[in-house]
Amino acid sequence: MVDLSIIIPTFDEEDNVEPLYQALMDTVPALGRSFEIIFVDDGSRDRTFERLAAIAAQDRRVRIVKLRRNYGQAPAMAAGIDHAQGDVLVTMDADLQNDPADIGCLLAKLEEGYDLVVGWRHERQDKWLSRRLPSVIANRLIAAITGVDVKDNGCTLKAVRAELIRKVPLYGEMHRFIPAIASTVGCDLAEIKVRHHPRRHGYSKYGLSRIYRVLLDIMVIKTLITFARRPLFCFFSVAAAAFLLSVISAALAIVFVEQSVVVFATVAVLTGSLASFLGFAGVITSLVSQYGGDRLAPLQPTLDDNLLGSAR
Amino acid sequence: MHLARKVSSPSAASPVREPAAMEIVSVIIPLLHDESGIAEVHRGYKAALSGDTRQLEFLYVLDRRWHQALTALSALKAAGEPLTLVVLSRWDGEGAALRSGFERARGDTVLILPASPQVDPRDVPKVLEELAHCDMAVANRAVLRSSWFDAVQAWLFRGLVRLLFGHIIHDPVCRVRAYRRQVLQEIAGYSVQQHFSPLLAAERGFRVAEVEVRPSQPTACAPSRQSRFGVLLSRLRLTLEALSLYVVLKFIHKPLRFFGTAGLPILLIGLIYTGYLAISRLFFGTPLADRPALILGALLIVLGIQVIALGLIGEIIIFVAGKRIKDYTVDKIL
Repeated sequence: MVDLSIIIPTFDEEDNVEPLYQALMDTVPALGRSFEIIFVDDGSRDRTFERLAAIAAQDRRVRIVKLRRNYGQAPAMAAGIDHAQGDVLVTMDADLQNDPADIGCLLAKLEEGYDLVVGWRHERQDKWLSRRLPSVIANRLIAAITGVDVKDNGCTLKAVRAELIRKVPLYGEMHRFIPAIASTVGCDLAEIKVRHHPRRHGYSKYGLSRIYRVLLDIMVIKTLITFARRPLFCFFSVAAAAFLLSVISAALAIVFVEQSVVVFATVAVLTGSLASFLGFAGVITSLVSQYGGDRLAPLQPTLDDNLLGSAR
Repeated sequence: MHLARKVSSPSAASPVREPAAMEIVSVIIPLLHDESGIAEVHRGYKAALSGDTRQLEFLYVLDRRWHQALTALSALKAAGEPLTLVVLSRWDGEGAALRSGFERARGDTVLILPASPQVDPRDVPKVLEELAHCDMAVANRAVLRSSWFDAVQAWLFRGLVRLLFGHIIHDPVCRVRAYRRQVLQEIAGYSVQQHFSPLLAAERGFRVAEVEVRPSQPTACAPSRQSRFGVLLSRLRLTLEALSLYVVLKFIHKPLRFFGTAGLPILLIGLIYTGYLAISRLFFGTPLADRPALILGALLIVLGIQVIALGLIGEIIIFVAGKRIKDYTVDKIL
């Protein structure tokens, strides 16, 4: 068991892993904690794994988890988390855009009593139009929808307590939404400014198709959060809207009975069927939370034992 | 028709390995029906593989009602051949048979062969040798198509597989396949036609190679040629299997991606169309009530929402009740 695990998902970063290791070795030992570094090789096609293996051969604190093919950043992070033994986990990028010197700041903030500390790249070194503007829009959108105000969802540099992150599922692109999902479990969130360096080697692996995937993931997260707090609400609210439309359409059918009763009546029936479908779907899905498995606990806020102690 | 679904994987309790220095190759041969000439087949395979220095064990999987094959194989076994008979009380299909065979296999390398020879026996060791460079090897008989109709079907099927999975299997029907033990352990749990096991293995990141082989000479016990219609039907079945495998592979971890890809476009088209209708009614006065256009718009919207809702339900189910499904597979840990 170590105090600190640093998890770095890596994909095709053969020129960056050596400098990154050196930069880590310059700053992390000075923090005075026992630590381990876990590189997750996410199916790199270049010599990344060879370079990582060489580093691991010389330093017992470095471990490499090699995935069989490329799975994406969230599964790679999940792999690192599953193999980590630290009490505190720090995730960061492998492309040298995060500065290891910020790890100390994150840890200090965490020790003030927070459960999750995320970095905020407040002076981003990227192009304005293609990277920073969409990023600002996306972050505002995510904050508005999920209700968790994080200014920089895309910053991989985060520090989190191990027991909290193990309750958070990580698949798809969910690594962007760790604060939002963690909020369903109940966590104290802090955000601090971190440095950002321009990319030195390699190329950025993300493109526009990511926007579509992130959009879908936002829908999922929103549904999950709403479902966690009020299980029936998310279905019944849309069902109610559909029902309202149905009533309006039926009213129109009655009012315009000579010309257009068929059209409006059919629309009324259609939206009515949607309302009942969503209503029943909501009932069935709330069954899931009744019979739910080991994930049930995270969907309810953790109770404060001190408060309940006297009531028991 | 089997719907692809994940069945519980073979029991992890493997028999105690003898501390033998020699590697064992397990040859699994499932019988699809009662074969009287199975002894001949066994001798042929044994001869073909005799050049291999490793220890061979043969496992024959068959239904207990197939008396001819049973007697033939029992006689062989009594004569001292290194074969194991896995006798199933009920035939559940080829996949289940292979799983039963694999549960009893001791080797680190597994070779699967058909009970009616499809490949020239001299080429069988080639498939086995290919495993030195990869994790799974399949045989590819360079077969000339018998008719243009056949060729078109095959071409279409291959195109579909390439579209869905990004890989091509040239000869899905050939049952000569060699696996490392680890590969079978991971993919044997999926209840899908064996034709697609190379796709499954590739999807999990294993290296799959195809080996060019010569087809076997037609022997006296070759099955009669199916009618054209029969071949077409089985191709259709294969296509449906491919589609269902694609759905399972993509759907299991990310339901909303799958449903959303279908539902979002429908919803968007519905919204745009209804918006257009509303605008044309309100601002241009085109009558709306004498034609079913609005019904179509409403239908599209309703359908889109329903499909998306199903995807979200899938996500909720996974989130709440799913055991921690590992989205990744680990190759090495240093």
